[in-house]
Amino acid sequence: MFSLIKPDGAVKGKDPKLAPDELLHIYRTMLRVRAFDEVCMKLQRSGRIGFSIPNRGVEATQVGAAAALRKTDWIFPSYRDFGMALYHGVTPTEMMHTMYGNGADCAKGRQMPVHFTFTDPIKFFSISSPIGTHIVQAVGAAYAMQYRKEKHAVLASFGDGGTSSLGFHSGLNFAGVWKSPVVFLCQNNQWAISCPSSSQTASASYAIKAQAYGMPGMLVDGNDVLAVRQVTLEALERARKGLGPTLIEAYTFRMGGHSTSDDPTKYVPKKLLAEWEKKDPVVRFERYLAKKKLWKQPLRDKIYNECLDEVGDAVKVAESTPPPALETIFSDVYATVPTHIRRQGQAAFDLAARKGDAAAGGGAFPL
Amino acid sequence: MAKIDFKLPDIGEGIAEGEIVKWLVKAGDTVKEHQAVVEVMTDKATVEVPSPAAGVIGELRATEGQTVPVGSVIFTLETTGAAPVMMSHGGGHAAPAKAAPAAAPAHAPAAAAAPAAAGGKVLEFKLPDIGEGIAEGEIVKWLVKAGESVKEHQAVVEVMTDKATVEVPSPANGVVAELRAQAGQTVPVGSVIFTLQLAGAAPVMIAHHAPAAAAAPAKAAAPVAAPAPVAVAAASTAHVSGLDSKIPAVPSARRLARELGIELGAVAGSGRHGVIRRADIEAYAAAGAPKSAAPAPSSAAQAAPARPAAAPVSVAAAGGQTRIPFRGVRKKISEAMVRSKYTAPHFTVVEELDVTDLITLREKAKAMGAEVGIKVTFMPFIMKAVASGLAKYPQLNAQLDEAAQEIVRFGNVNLGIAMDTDQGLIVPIVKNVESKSVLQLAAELADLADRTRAGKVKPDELKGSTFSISNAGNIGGTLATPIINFPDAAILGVHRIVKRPGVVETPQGDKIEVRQYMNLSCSVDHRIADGADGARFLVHLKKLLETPGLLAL
Amino acid sequence: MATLTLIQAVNDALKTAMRTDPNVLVFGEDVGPKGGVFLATDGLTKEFGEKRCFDTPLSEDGIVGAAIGMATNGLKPIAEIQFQDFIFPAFDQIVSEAAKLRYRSGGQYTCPLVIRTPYGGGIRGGLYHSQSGEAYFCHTPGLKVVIPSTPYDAKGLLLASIDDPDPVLFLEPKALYRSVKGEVPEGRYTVDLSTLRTAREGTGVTVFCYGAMVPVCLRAAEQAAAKGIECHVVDLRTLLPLDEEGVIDAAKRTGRVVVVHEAPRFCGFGGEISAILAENCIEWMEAPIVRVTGFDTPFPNTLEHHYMPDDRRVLDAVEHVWNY
Repeated sequence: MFSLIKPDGAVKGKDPKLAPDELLHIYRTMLRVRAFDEVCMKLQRSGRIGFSIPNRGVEATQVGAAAALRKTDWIFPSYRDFGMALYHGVTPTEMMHTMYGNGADCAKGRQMPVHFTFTDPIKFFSISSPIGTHIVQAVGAAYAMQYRKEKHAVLASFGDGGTSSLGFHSGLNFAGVWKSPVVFLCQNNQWAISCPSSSQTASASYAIKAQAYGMPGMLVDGNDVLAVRQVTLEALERARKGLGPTLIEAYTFRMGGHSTSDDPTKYVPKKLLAEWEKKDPVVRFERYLAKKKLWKQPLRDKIYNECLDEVGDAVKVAESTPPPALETIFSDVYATVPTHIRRQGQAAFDLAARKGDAAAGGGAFPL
Repeated sequence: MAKIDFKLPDIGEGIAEGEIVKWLVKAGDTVKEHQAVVEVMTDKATVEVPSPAAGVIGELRATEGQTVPVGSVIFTLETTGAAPVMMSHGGGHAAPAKAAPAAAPAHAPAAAAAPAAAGGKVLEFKLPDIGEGIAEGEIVKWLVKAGESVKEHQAVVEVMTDKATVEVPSPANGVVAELRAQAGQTVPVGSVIFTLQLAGAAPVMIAHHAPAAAAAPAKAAAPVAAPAPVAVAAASTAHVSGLDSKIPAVPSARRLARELGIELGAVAGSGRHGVIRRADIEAYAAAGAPKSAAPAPSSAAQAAPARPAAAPVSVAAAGGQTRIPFRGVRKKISEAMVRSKYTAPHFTVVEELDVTDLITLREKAKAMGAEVGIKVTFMPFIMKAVASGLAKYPQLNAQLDEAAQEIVRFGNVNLGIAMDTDQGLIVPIVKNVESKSVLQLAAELADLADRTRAGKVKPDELKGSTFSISNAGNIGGTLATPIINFPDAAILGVHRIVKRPGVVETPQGDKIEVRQYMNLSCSVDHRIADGADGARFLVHLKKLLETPGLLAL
Repeated sequence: MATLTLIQAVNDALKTAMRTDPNVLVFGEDVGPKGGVFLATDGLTKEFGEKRCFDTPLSEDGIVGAAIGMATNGLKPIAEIQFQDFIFPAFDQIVSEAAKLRYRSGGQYTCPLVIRTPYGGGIRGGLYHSQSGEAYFCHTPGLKVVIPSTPYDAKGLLLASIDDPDPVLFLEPKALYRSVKGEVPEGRYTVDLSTLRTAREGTGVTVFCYGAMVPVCLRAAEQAAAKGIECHVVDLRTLLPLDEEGVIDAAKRTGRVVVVHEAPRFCGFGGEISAILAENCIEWMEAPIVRVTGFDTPFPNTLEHHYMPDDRRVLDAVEHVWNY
């Protein structure tokens, strides 16, 4: 398993020698993920948003992979990857609008929280709940890049559970045959809700599955942000050179539950959790930064509080934004609104008007 | 600063209740936003519930160990800042208490609602009655948008009524606030079609008096659009198929009308847009004649039976009984017969006819008819005789117009021929019998009989009789006292032909021969005609039918 | 007799079946030690062991495909699909295989399996945790589609489905999992498939519904009664094979029909009811047959309460047909 940062923060092998700005940006992003996460969990538990998905423990896999990408690359994320969006400039406010499903949400309040969709500053493809469907779609998007002879690449990210899906098989199989410029990132956080990795596959690892599909597989320490970045960068370079896809397994651990509806204490052994607590990816990176004289504890407090404030501001903006307009139920089903949907929209407006609901606006279906 | 009642949220998909495990604060404690306040156990997980805002805990409203439903208040909080926005139980977020922020969301409610400008009343502009007695108009085209400034008299919308398409002007200066009807929508006169933020004083509008007809319109919607879920209803009522394809009627009404031989066109519909309901058919049948209004003036509906109301008959239930619901066609016939018999005082005259020669003639006519594919029975001859008789005795080809207090004698002879079918007694009509030949009558009769039995007779073939014939002779009985097909003046009963020895007068004296005899009975409404009329009429028929060659005259 | 929630009744049915028949197995994602994301399978692994109640890899097609294989070889598998929204990878196995096996093999191979899955909206689950896809499966000859709305029916119908020799898709209305409680007898009992249930007697308007719409329609019926309209509310329970005679009789009883379902309108189950009534008893209809349904759009999250038919929309439709 490839890693770069030892538990004490020293470098194993070749230091990537990133500029301090970049290192701090990586660090801040990891803390922003943690802050966003922490606040969203509390928002959900106090009934201010309906749902959230914890990211604690997997910050390094998300941010490390994101750090290797260019803004012209596409990301086909899982629902536990918003750190990638944050790294490339999506703001907590934009994300909080989606968590609140309000009128400023770019998806118009249609999806459950954490099912983000962004087109800029980076293409962060629309997340759906079914597992693995995006993996093969990523290959299609990559095909378009090949077709136009672009030097872009696609990162398809999924969990250990995702490797059992039909999309994984089709995706890797097609990518192998087409030599797609895709990096398949399997974030093995060892749990698919309550299903441990040992029940998910009989393969010795997830990385080894790459062989079946005719591509290189790389196993990396998922809690080592620089290692993840390194391995992803190498895979992207292969892809851009036309050498085809790579499967990366980032070995990590999901420190929280699957979602706010899940209680992991029922199935995650306490001992295992305690072991992995010691491998906290943020702490490990702090030790690396400290060795580079870029970090001291007060910096963590300062940055983390800034992140909390940022998220707190995002909450204030999001919660004071009105819900999406009633007609958003009926728009974007097709490019234009067909008659039968228009009729239903008008009926919904009529009913809202008769109920005296402000959502009715003037009572006429505006589309 | 706000006091909020904190309700137990739905912590995980579809949780309905939670048990309070442990309070982590007490009343009076100061808490921060996100600070854990209470531990709650659901059947999915035990979680800490944080405070939604900074403030001071007011009351703890649930005790440790208590199970409370999601949505019930578990503690109160006096916030030090603004109140947080909570998810409304059972769906989405309520609109926040504060006004929308300056950064208008990209997908704010569409321009339908303009913000209320400072000052000025809002006028709700109702579609006026544009032309005498117009009830509704179709919005053709809006000439302005919400938010646009308009001047008094400036055209705002094009409306089409069945008299004209007109431009409707603004009654005053102001800003159009909301458009309340869509292009293509039909709205009743008096419904609000747009609202206007007035720049000055309100204009004086004519008070609108809604027409007595249909349902009162909902505020912003034409009857076409309300109630909400049935968006296609109005359009579909126009697309009914069937015999009366242009007359909308619900399926159950059509069935009943068909069973009773009632023409839909004669029935007023009380449903939306004049749709005929089953109740309308029932009302029509109960109140009116079994056949609908004839072209000739007919008596207005009522004339209830003159019997005193007696206690209804009740039959005690017992074994061996078969009970059949007394409804539908049977009941309708009952009502019709009661009306006839108890309104028109019936008398019946009877005559016996020697039809031996008629039979001979008919055989020959049958052969001739067969050559051209026409089935010839006795009935066409009888009909011809009746037409002749009614020409001579027009008082029997009549009706009493009770409303006008006039006896109406008809110029032509339309004969109702009573037929027994699967649906019951149906009386289709052959019109203008006086001007048709026997063969013509035979052909028409055969066709009518076929179609009546097949249930395919047209409604206008069921109305407009001036006299009726009831031929039960082929079923049985040598005599009967028929009940008049009200409101005709009279009815002729035709009875069975029997062979008997009879007396024939010859120059050589009286002889006994086998002869064939048939009785004719004629019931007459004694209000309109007398016994002598009926008797003479039958004598005339006898003369013609005993020497059928005379029919040619 | 215990008072159970609908999810507890499901759990009770599974335990009952597993206690009486050692060939009954339960499997799916997270159904083992965790007991299922809704706790439908709580306690099963503990009582019956890992060979009889176990987790599978994250693969719906695998779950159903394996279930088919098990069913053909003497076992009675009860597969759980975690949310109906995730059933589509298994659609091929269900439609091409499970539904057609008896037919294409001349009865030599059969497929007595049950697929259980939570369906429907009402828990703010957005596009992928709220779908009502019953229409896709009702269009598949060879399959049975069953939807309970009460705890009593949930247990009885599930036990009947497990007994059934044909593949049954058992759709559980997740909105009712914990919000509906009722008396459930202990031990084994079954509720026959293909029989509807009259949830409320009436002579004014017949309302056909199923799943989470049943309580909605009953509420609307109460409001209608206050206006003098007595609704006859029918819980269809089994959509396929449908109790057609029962449906026709219930419709003829009043001549005024409203059909309610959360699923989108176009090509929804309401269309089938309308067609059946139009063909068989149109002359008893006093008014158009009206459907109250979800919109023909994907299922929205924040505006869910506008999307799902509520008692108000049902009442509007009832009044419309009543006054027609």
